[in-house]
Amino acid sequence: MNNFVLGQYVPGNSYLHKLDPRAKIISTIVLMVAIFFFKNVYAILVSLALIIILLLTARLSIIKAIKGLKPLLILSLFVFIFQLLFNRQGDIIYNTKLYFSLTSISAILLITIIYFISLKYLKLKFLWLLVYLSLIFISLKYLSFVELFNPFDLNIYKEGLNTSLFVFFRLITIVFISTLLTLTTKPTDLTLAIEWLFRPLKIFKINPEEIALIITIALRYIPTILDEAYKIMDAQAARGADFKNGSLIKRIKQLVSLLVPMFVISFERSDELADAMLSRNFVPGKPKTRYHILKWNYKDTVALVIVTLFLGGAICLYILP
Amino acid sequence: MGISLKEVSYSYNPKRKGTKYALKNVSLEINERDEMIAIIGESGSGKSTLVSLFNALKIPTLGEANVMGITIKKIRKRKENYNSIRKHVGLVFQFSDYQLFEETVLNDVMFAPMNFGYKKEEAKEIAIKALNLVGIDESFYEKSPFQLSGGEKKIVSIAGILAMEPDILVFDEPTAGLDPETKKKMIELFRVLNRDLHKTVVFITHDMNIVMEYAKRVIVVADRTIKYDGTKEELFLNHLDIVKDAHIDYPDTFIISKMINEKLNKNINQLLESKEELLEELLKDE
Amino acid sequence: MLIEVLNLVYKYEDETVNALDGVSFNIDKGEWVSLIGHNGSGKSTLSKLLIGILSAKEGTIKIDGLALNEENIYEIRKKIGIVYQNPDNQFVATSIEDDIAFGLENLEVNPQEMEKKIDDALNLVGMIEYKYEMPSNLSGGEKQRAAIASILAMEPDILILDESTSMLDPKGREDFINVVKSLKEKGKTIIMITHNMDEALLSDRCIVLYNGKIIRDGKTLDVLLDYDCLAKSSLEMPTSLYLFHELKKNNYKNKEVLNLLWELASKK
Repeated sequence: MNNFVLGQYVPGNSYLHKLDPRAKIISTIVLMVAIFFFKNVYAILVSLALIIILLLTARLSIIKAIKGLKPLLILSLFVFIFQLLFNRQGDIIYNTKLYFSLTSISAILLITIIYFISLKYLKLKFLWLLVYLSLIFISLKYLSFVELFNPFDLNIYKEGLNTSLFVFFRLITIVFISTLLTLTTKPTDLTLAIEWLFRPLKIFKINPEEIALIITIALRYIPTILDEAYKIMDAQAARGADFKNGSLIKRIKQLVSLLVPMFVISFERSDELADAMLSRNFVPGKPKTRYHILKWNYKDTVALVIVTLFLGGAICLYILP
Repeated sequence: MGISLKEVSYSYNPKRKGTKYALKNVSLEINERDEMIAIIGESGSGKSTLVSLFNALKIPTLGEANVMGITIKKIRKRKENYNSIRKHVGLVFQFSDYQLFEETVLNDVMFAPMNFGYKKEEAKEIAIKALNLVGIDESFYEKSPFQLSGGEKKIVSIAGILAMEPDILVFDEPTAGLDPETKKKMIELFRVLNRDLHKTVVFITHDMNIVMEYAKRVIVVADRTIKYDGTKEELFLNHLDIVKDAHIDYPDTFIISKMINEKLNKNINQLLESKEELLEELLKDE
Repeated sequence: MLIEVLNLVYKYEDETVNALDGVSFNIDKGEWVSLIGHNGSGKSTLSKLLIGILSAKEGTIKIDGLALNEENIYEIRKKIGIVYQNPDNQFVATSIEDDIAFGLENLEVNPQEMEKKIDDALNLVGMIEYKYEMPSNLSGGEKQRAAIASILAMEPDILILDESTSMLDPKGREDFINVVKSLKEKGKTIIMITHNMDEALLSDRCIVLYNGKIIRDGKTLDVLLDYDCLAKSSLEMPTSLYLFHELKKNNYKNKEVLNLLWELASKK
């Protein structure tokens, strides 16, 4: 349950941990913008290497960082394959015929079945996906016996390869940068920093303190609400509700038996919480003092200067031919 | 038949190395008829995990559970639907808010029979039977469960479980946070279910006065395992160390008679089931 | 008088009868008062009125000489703290430390003094080792003690416990009650709303509410021996007092046993 509150945060004492969260958020944004100015894959690879060096010098586990990539990894892979197949600029650098034959299709079916069965027992699912995709490619390429359709001409163009690599690594680098932030910053510190950074919004009558309070209360109650959800599911399962099997319509009906109690309990909770807050002298919009005070250090300035220089460099590379 | 656990352990994260068990090496037998069992122990001792093994809400990580002749084991390939077990072992959760969701009381009580494949008319009949049993009259049928008082909600949620017509009924802290009036109704219901309908009633509670007065058998859960399983008399006569270690209260009649015996050198039975019996005993003693 | 309540009337919008109907009482500094009664007798409404979350239709409330009105509502809330029934629904922050700070921030306490106040409050309830813990990781009893700490840090004179122990197990309840006892010794005024008669026995004085009216207000042992009053409110007499009461009714003669039962009931 704790995962939801701490997010990906890994407690530590490195220089990245010690930076002011405001400096970290601003740096993250600046770095991301810089990455978008890069036009070629080498600059991106150099940046990625730099980020990984930062990661390692802060004694962060690279495996943890890669795990953080997970949700986006598959997306980037598909973007990569899509670019590779459909971008037809530049010279052809690779050409092959793919055969849709009885043998290749049955091989693919077999591989797919094995893949989905084995998924349950394997840990490195992403690597396994790569193996799966390569096996499909190999069967299409070499198993030509009893052809069913005309073979497909697979051409890979130079620009296509370049662009797809570029897009792929740019995405990964950006995710890595944000992972660097979430791995080294407590959500509560992030909240404080967001509150500070949102101060200009006061012009539009948006109170940053309220935004911060909402985030904090959400973080506080996510574990409680999840725990409740499990208990409600149990209580309904005890009455024969089945959330896993059955037709879609039936499952949606069962879902109502989960959602209604969750809403009812949450409304009750918000009433009680509001009372508890009022009785502790909470008055929306009234000035308050702060327990946690963010301290800006010279190191934070140094960090900002470095990333700004990096951005400057990126812009120069962009403008210069 | 009934419930049988053989060396069952349960862990929430069985795959993690060095995992901690929420329940360790538990064995017990519960008959499907005529038992009245109290499960007692501190919060977090594993009581709730234990009872959720009774109707296959949790599947043993190690060991084997057998409920109404169906074996529940970890190693099962297909997605198993344990509804046939849940129909026989009704589990009433502590908070009725976890359960009530339909627009009317009657529909809510019909939820379980409908899940078990009864037609609407049959389900309605069964639901009305269950509501009669708990003493909820017709004027409540079309009310929204959310308009009811806390005590009424609790009673309706019990009807929702009784509508499965289970043989064994398990209550998780049935009297906690209830007003004295609903508490009385609840205990009266236990008697009807157990004495008149011969069902097995299992209840988790912290209230030792209720245990002393109504339970025939007591199971003490502490440190994530069963420390005692037997009669209440034996527990308070010979196993006071277990009572102490498990942070269980003593029943009022036990404390008071013990104090009178020790300070005034009397010989009053310390294992009387109710304060009325103790009163009689004191009057006789004079 | 620390609390002076005169002729309080309150009606909920969608109800036809008054939830509170002419309630008057005074409470002295340092008293421990139990507020008992059946469900819907008006106990919790009363606690909400005392702290100004609801405002009365008629009647006045004076806390420490200060009349409760729009102007000094915040001044009054500083003097009263409430611990509610559900341990889960009163934490605002993701750590105990930050939760205690929430109240202090609202009071505009100097940030340099906060840490000490937080530590002191946690020491008072024996929870200092949970300072950095997340509320969701604590047991019910620990949550309620942390909730007391959050209120104690704000240094109120009056503590209202609104069925605060009803969701706790015996151990959690005992630890909680021990904290309350120590606060009483430190001179705090305690108003305890409860269904648990053994807890009510611990107080100096009992006020019984019935359908929005006070039907009994007196020394705890006198009130809890009033069979008719308790029966009317469907409350149960504590076992020791029940035996005392019934034995006397039956002309039981053994003084020693009676004394012992009385002693047991009045032992705090």
